[in-house]
Amino acid sequence: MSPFDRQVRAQIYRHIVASGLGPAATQLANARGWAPEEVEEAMRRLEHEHRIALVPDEPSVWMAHPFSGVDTEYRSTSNGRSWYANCAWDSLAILSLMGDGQAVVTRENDEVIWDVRNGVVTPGGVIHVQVPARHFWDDVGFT
Amino acid sequence: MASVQDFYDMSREWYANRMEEDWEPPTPEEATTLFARHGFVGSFWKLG
Repeated sequence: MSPFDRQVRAQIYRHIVASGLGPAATQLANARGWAPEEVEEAMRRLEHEHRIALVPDEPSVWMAHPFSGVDTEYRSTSNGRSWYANCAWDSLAILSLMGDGQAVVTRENDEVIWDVRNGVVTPGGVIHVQVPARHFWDDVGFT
Repeated sequence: MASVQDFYDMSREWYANRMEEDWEPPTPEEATTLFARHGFVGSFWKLG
C-alpha cells in the first residue's frame, strides 16, 4: 500500500467507528482536504488488494472488516455505540476491538444475542464458516 | 465450525492493529500460524 492508500484506509476506519456507517469518497475527501477523485482511486486500489469492499458501482465503503459499512442483520454495541458487522464472526470481532458489549443477530423469526464481558462470550455456541479461508474474497458478499 | 469463544479470541489477535495506518496484512504463513494458535487448523483455514 502507498502512504496515501494507508491514510485513506485508516480514515475509513475512523469514519466507521465514529459514525457507524461506511464513508463515501466525498466524505473522506472533505474530512481530510483530499481530492475526491484521488480518494476514489485509492479506494479502488484498496478493494483490488482486498483491504476493503466497495458498494457495487459506488465509491462508498461496503466492508472494512470486521465492520460493515451498510446496515445488516448483525449489530454490535459497546459503551453506548453500535456498528454493523458482516457476519457472526465479525460481530464478535468488533467487540474484540471496541470493548465489552453485545453482538446481536436479528433474523425474521429469531434473534441471537451474545454478551462479551471481560473477554468471555456468553452464551456458548458455534459459528459455522462455509467458505474456506483461501476463497474468502472470491465473493466476499457471499462469504 | 468453531466455538464463539474461539472466534472471539482469534479475532482479538487477527484484528489487533487492523485500524492503524501502518497495518500490514499477514503473510499466508503468518495467518496460518495465527489461526492454528486458536485451534483453526487444517486445509480449510489455509491461506495462499
